[in-house]
Amino acid sequence: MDNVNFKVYQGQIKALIGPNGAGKTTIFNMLSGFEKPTKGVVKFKERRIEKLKPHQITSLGIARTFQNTQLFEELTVLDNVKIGCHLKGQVGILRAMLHFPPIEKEEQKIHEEAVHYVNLVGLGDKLNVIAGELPQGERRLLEIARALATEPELLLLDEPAAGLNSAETEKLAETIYKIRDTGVTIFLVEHDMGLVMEVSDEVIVLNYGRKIAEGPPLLIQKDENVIQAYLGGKINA
Amino acid sequence: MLLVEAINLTKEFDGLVRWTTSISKFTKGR
Repeated sequence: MDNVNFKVYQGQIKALIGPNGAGKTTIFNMLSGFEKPTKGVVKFKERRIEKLKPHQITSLGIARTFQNTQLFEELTVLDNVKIGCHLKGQVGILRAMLHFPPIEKEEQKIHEEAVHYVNLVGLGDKLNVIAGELPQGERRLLEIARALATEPELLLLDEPAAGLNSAETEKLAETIYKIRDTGVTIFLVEHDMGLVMEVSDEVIVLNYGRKIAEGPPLLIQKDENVIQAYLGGKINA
Repeated sequence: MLLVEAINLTKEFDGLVRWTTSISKFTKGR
C-alpha cells in the first residue's frame, strides 16, 4: 500500500475495486482498526482513528462485514442481531446476563431494534432460524443486519456478493439501497462488477497498492489504466 | 459532509508477512 488518498462523503455508496492482492482488504482493515498503517492518516468525521482498536472504532460509528461470513452459527437470526444491538446498548452483555433490574426494558428495546434490522435486510420470516442453516446469500444479509445493529454512520462491506447467485446479488443490491436510504454511508470492496456499477456513486480502483483511478462508474469503465490493470499490460499510474 | 479521509495511507509488508508469503508460494510450487 503506497500513499493512497481518498475521501468518502456522507450518504455515498462508494466502491473499492482492483485485482487480487491490490490492497483492498488492507484498506478496510486500516479503516476498521484491524491493521495499523505504517504511515499516513485516517480521519472519521475529522477525528484521527488510525491508531484506535476495532471496538473503539465501532463505538465511533463504523461497522464492517468480512469476506468470510462470521456469524454465531448455533444462535438464531434474531439472537445474532441482538448481539450487535448489545454492543451499543447501555446495559451491556455482562449486566444483561446477570439480569440487573433495568434489563427488561432494555431487552424489549433491543428485541424491537433487532427485529427492525432483520426486516430491513429481508429476513423477517427467518427470525428463529439457526444461522448455521441459512444459505450463503442470507448469511451475508444477516451479517449486514448485525453490523447495522451497532447503528453505524459508515458501513464497510467486504466482498458482500462473493459466493452469491444472481438472484441473491440482486436482493443484496436492493438491500444496499435500502440501507443508504436510512442515512448510512456505504463503502464496499467488491469483485462483482455488475453490482459495483449498479449501486456505486463513485469507484476507487487500486492496483499493486496504488490508486490508479477514482470517479463515477461510467468513467471508470472507460479508464485506460483500469482496463489495463484488469486485462494486463503496462499501467500509466 | 466529509465522513472519511485517508491521507497518504501506506502499509509496508513486515518481515513475517514476507516470510509467510514466500513459504506459501513455495508450498504451492510457484
